[in-house]
Amino acid sequence: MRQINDITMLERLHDQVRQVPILVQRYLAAVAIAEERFRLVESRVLQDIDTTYTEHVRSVAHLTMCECRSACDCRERYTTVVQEAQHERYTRQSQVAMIQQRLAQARSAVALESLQRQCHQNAEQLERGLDRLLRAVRSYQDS
Amino acid sequence: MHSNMNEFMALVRAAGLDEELLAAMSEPVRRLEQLLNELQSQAEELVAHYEQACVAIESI
Repeated sequence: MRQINDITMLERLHDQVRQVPILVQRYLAAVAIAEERFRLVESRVLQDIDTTYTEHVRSVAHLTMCECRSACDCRERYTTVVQEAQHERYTRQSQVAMIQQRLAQARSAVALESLQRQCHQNAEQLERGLDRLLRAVRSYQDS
Repeated sequence: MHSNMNEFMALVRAAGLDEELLAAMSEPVRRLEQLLNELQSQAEELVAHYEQACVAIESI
């Protein structure tokens, strides 16, 4: 167990304890930045999937219209293309969902909120104790 | 300032504080250090997960 061996150390400890909320905020800010970055990337990827799907269907449908001679062929090819594109979009969306799920599992595995609460409670308790201790020692020195 | 442990402890005792109180302070200090280390490593772990997820989702 660490020993508190002089008043300088007590004062230093007191300062360190006062810094705890800042330290906690710093850790949580790093997580918030990572979360925000993921949300941006995720939203861009989801938008890309939809855009690609729409463009693909539109361009192939246009080609199909131009190339096909009979309305029947055209409808058939168009349907196939739409089905393929839908399948592609579904596959990509499933991949996104899988990543989101993995991330949610990682998020629930860590207990940042609980740790943050414990740190604050502990720091407050410690700061009160150190205050009392420092006041007592200083008042003795002054007397 | 009292850099000598014995001198400091004598001062503490004379001030009406005892070693038990000082020892009692050591445990919350140790606990806080442990909590902060845990918080830091969990935050780092989560940031790493987000980074991996970004790479994975961008590769789709």
